Amino acid sequence: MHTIAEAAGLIAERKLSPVELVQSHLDRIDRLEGKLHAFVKVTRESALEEAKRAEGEIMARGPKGPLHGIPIAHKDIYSTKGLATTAHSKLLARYVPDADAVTVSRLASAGAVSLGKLATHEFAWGGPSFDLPWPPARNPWNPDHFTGGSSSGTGAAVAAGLVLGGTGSDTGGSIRLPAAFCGIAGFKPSYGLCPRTGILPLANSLDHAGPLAWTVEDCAIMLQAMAGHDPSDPASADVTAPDFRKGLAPSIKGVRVGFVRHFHERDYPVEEPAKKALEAAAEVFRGLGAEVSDVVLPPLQDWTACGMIIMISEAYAVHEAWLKSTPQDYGEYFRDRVLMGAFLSAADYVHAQRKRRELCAALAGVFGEVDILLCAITPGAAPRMDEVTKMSSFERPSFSFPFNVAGAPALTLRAGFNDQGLPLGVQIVGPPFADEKVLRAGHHYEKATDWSRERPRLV
Amino acid sequence: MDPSSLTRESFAALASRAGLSLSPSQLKELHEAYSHVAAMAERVRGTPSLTAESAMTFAPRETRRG
Repeated sequence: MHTIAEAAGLIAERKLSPVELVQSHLDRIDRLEGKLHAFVKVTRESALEEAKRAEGEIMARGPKGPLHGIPIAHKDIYSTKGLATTAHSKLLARYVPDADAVTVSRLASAGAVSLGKLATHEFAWGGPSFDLPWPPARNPWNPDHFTGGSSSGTGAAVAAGLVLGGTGSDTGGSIRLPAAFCGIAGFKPSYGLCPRTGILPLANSLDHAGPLAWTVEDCAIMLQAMAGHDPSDPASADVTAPDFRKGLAPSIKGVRVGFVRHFHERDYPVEEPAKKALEAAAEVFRGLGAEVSDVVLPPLQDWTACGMIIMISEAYAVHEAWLKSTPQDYGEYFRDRVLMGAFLSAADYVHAQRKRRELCAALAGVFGEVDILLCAITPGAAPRMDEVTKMSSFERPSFSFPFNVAGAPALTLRAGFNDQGLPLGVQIVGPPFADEKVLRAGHHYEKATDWSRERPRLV
Repeated sequence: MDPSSLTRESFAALASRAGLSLSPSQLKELHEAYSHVAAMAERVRGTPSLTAESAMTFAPRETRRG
């Protein structure tokens, strides 16, 4: 199995045919999709047509970039022109957008070949659910275990090698959690770096678009195509994206890493293997010449409360009309979670947004002392599917929410395995618009460890 | 608001005010889960300064982009 970077190199040297590459992934989908349910829709014919077109262009003029001819797929909340965009929901089962999401269009322009639409938790929050028109995605490391969500199909498809990369969205952790549980790399960029235009919203002020792939370098390649100002997205930052892939190379010697130890030791103690993985990651950074020291942020509970009140309020506003008129058309998990918004007040929302400013100021203060943060992403490896309950996200603090609240770039990547062979992850975070710095740290960490060599042992 | 202070009856009244039709079992389940949400709402209140700004402060210059 190639990474995007490896496949791109072979395609550029005319040693790998995009048509054969895409066909091999379609064959793999045929073999494994019945077990994994990663896709809502496989677009076999259009994928092969795109691959043939890419191959012709490459033979005539060479590749236009590292995504030319690379098989990817999109989370099914990304609008695709002429192709149903369902949000994994009965409510949108027949919704066919008349335009692509800006990020879909940008990835297509970069030459990526879409193999279809990927499973998601309903409207990016309701899962894992068994009462929707499509089954939930399964974890390729063990199909009895949770993929994490909400970019569940992307996590499963990338980990299983059904595609080389995919799109995700992250409102409270929905890129980073499946990345952690499925043992891949997932990057939530700074808020405003990747346009949300054409991506179905969960909570506008927290929604981020970003890539999931096997390696950090592959995430950087995808991000390069996705990032950049879009005037039709009011939150889009008018900044020039740097060369993310080139930015991976410089050493991280002397980089100041703040270890947010209290998140996983005091605020919400994690399982022992996850704790060991975090300590080992800190050691890897020391070995790379970084200066690691403990830092203190406001407690996880403050961040989670702030993010959750905002998310519930904004999501309820988006879905209010349907919740009143056709509540039976939602899956139970999404409907009952988002219904909590009916019981919050305008003052609750404003208080949460005031708290958000306070929390962001605290984070900015810490970034005056360190360059990046290292912290936990989950309490342990993926739980069994049947251990994930409808209201579990309200019952414990989240390690991912702080960086949606702050709009800060955050990367999850592999950091080991537990004794059941399930992947463990860690999280690397930077100040807003220091995306390059986060990717660089993750890339060097990845190169210094051998966790990414092991693939799920699928039959 | 004290998270435990909202009775089932008050909770049902809020659902009705919101225009929601919830079954008795759904109301019971949501009311139980609400204690977690109410605790979070209480947590973000804190004691902000009277002049504390929201992170979503209206910025007219930004709206010129449309």
